[in-house]
Amino acid sequence: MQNRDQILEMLTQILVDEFEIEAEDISLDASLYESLDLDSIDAVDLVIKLQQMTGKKIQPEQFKTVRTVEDVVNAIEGLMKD
Amino acid sequence: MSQTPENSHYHGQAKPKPFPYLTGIAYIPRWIGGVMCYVVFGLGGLLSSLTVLPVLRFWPGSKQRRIARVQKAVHIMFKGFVWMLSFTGLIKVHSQHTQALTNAKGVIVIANHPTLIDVVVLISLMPNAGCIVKQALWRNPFMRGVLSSAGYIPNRGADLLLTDCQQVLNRQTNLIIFPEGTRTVVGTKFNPFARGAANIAIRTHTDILPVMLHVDVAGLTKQQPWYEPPRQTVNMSVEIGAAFDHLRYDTSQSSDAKMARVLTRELEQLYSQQITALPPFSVTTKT
Repeated sequence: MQNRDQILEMLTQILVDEFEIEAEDISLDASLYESLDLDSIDAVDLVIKLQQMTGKKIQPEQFKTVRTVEDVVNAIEGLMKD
Repeated sequence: MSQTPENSHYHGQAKPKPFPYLTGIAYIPRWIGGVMCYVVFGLGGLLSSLTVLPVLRFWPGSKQRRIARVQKAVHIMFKGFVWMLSFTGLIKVHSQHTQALTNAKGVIVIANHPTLIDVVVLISLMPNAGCIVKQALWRNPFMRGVLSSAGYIPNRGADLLLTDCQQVLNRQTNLIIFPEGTRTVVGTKFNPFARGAANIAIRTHTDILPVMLHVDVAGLTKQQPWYEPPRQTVNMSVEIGAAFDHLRYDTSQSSDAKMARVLTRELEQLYSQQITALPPFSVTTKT
């Protein structure tokens, strides 16, 4: 799961399955809170789900600045490199 | 428990008669009364947090007993304040059939949010009410004492919030939440619901008791400045709906996040059936 396309695919799957988001609404520049209508409780769920899928521990601070789908992909990509 | 909006107290009962629209010299006592309400509210908060609330807070007893005592005191003060709002003609509250609210224990109470004083009305009907209060108010030295001694919840971010809510609900305190997030925009029924109330209900395994606040004219809304008290007394009828049983939202088949979406849609549906749009401002209601 090293390349960005795979990460995006995984993220899309989570958003569709867990949060009732339409796959066609998901693009790299889509904002999680505005266009995808996630709230702060959803964000906590998303982090937990991402931890399960990647097997990496995600620090809340790393997710504080995340606003768009691309930000999530970058954060996960960074984690996988470590 | 069913959610069909039957036995609607508001619709089953005669609608309260609208009050006259005050103009000219007749508005002067109303204006003075309205401003007095703000003064009394502010001074009441300050004085009680310097006198009676610290006494109740430090009077011996378990933490639970002390918090219950402060909640009861706020309840009694708000009852008095609702009486003052009615005396000065700002708002007349009709709450004859609200026993279910007074008897409620450890549930989430949601309501639509037409006016500034909705939370005052709700607490005046509940001796054991708690709220989630934004963090900015916890830094306010006048408010902090009251908020913490009444066991209210600071919004410290999603994960801590859920733990805090669980703790308060376990104490048999009812949690008041306005899913609209802010006061209703004039001319509409309600603002789209945020999913916080549903999320808390599902994740803390708590029932939701829906309260419908029906008003006949727009007054004390977000679009009106505080120094312009309503010229026409607002009739507010408090109606209690059937509880939403959290067990009906089974999360074993689906994620919590999804069930919160389902529950939020059902809550919006209920309010959409029950609430009539907050009337736009008009001068044609003069009598």
